[in-house]
Amino acid sequence: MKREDALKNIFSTRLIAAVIIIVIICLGVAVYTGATGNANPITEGIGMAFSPLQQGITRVAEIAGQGRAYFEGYDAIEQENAELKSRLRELEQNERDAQIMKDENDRLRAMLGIKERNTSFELELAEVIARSPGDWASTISLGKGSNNGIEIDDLVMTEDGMVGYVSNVAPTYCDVTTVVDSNMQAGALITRTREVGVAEGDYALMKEGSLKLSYLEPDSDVVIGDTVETSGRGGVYPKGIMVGTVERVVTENNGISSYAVIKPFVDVSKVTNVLIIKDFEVTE
Amino acid sequence: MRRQNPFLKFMLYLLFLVLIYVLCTAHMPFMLFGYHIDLLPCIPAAIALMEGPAWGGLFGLLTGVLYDTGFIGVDGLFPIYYLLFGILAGAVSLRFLRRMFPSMLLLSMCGMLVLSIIRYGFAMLLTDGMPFALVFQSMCGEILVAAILSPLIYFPVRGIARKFDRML
Repeated sequence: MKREDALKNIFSTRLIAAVIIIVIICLGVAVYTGATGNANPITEGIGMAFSPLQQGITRVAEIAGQGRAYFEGYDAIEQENAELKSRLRELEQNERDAQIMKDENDRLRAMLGIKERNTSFELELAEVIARSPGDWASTISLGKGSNNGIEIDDLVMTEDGMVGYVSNVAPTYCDVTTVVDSNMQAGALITRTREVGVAEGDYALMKEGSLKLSYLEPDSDVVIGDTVETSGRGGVYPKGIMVGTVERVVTENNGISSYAVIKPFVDVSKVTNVLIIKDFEVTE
Repeated sequence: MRRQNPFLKFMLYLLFLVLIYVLCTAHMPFMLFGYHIDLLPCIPAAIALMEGPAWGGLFGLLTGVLYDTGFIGVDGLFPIYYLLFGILAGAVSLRFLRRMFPSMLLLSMCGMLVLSIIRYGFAMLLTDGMPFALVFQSMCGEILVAAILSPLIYFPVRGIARKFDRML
């Protein structure tokens, strides 16, 4: 009896009215964001408030992950260390220093190479601060936003290749649709044959960390191992940014076209620092 | 007799919700059985079980807003779903369920299952190439992971609820 009374009290006219008003407001927000593609100011504000917190937690998680990796691989490292010790006796100190310097040099050259190869790029370095909850999407948030000149559709990359593109921008952070997300679409071509297609995410392939290059001709001579890069068509994204390598070629159910499954060069689940291309010279 | 302070209780629940959201969206390589950990749906379920439909609806709404923040795309649908889920879960809890862990597990699993089916339906409307077997596998995985880790939600929520119950 007590429970039934409580239920009656709770489902008062006032509560029902409040729920109806909230539902109407939410539907209004859904229509507004769906029709305009603009971000909702409430979620944008919350995202801005939480982004420093997410950044902090992500850094702590990175440190914890490194610690875990250290302990998990301890035995292997110990064994390897014993072997290396016997070899290292033969090496001189200057050779070790030279190796360290060479590694550092290679890494810096790779980073610098992006700018050297693409002098028209205006780049912004950003840190990954969060990811989308659950397994339904593959989006990441970066710690740079419109205050740093970031805009929607700016391409995001590392020295290895394309990570995705900016889909939502707030003043202090931005959201990136990664190359494997099922909503991702970008013009792409096969480097060797220059055959064009559309690189797009696919829900089934997202699970294995891949994407597909669609709308290839049935007689396409794409082969496993071919590299895929952005085509630059339409001028939305710069051309020549590496996307990944062809893993397999599949004929579509309609039999008219085929698609290639691409393994991205960048593992979006592990990337921590990225470059955002804020501006570039359109050369089609 | 001391009076209950609903604002303090609200703030404690809110802080807990924010903490879980930040942890679930942190960019870390930790997964369980190959699935990302998402415990957010357990929070409105646990609060609805402990506090009833009004609190369940309120925290359902807040959970939905956080989901909107975490995803790119149309906003406003997650808050509606979780608002209604929180109210319904609270009403069912008052009428049929005891305030114990299996009840929260049942509510959370039902909430996640219905949401997954709705999402699959929407995804089918908008895109093709979403095989049900894969979605089903993903759905089961997410629910299993949430079920395994749900005590991490249930016991803190129960702790807050009991603390304020004693103050009545």
